[in-house]
Amino acid sequence: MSGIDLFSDLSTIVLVFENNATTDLAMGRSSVRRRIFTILAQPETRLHLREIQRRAGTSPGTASRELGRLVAAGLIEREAEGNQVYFRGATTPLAIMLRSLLVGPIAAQLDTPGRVAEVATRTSPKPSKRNHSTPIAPATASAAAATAIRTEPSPTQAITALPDVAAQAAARSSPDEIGIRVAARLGDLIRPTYGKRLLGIFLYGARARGEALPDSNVDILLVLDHVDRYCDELEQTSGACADLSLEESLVVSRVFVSESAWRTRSDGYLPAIRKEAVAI
Amino acid sequence: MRPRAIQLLDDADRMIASARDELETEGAAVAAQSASAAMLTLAQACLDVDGLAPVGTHAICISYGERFARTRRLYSAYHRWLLDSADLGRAANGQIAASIDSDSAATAVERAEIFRDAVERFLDKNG
Repeated sequence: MSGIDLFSDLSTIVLVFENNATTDLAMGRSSVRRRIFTILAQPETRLHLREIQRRAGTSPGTASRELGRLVAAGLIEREAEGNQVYFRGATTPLAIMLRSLLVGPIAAQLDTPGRVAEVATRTSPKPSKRNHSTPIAPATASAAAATAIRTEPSPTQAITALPDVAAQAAARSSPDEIGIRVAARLGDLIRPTYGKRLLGIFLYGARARGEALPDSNVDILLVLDHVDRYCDELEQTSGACADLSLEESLVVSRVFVSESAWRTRSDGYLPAIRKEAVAI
Repeated sequence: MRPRAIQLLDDADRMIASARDELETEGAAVAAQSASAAMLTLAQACLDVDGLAPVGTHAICISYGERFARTRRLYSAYHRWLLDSADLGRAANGQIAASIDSDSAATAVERAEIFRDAVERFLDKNG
């Protein structure tokens, strides 16, 4: 894959694999699989089965099955060390690209500034009027594929394309695992209610920046097709949010923005949130 | 009723009255923030019964959840309303481009009034 325009070829790859088991494995229907993929997103992260199972909040059997599928798809690597087996994120171009779609900026997944600059250059989108738009991070696998097919860079990819910002992203701490886990669980709980209205789920704030204190809120931004009565959206998510807050002894805080506001508004904190947001 | 709880209840009353006025005069966002502040103040009044005086939205919401929602000492919906109002107040400060409509602000004020009556009954029995 080196030497080609990685980002431009993303749409081709997604098209080629759209109905393929590999894409299904990577971007597909299992939220546990996506959580495991997210947990192993950082290059220095190497974990054994029970730790992955614990962090993903699932059973050992499910974790083992989903890990097997991710390994078979070439997205996770398996390493035996004595009697212990460890798993880590694969460094293949496909794995890196999918992590950038599902987890966050490519730069954050690479281990050296040199590699960051290299990939940032390779992933620079071709000049286009559409490059300045702000696409929604997909809330579902099919939406992820659809977004990629449109060949618009995600906000985080657009940031990575600028070398100086890529270096900042590389220097940034990893997103907080509790924040990602709680946001993913909230997503699982509210998706059945919202269906296609839910266009994006983002972790932002201290937990997205990796600067969380033990009592930091889990700040979640939900992008909806439209927001008419704000209290209706609060009501729809109220039970899930309260239950999670009690379970985790944390405040799970949500904010709702419409798709148009997320794409176009440049006032207040939205530009900063777009930069730090971790798509769930 | 303990003096601090009485004071907090009075403060909440003033905030709710202010929120009612603001619905007409200042707009939904301002009223939502006052209603949110009232809810937090009422939660503080509840916590005062247990001798707790947490400061800040996070600490108040966590302590209230632990002491009153988990144990069901008060109707669990009030905990949801507390979290909802905190998020509404946050959205209403205008920093995140979330637009607050007047219905939502009015709902927040009504809930604060209902919670206020429940807290007063609770404090009469337990304070």
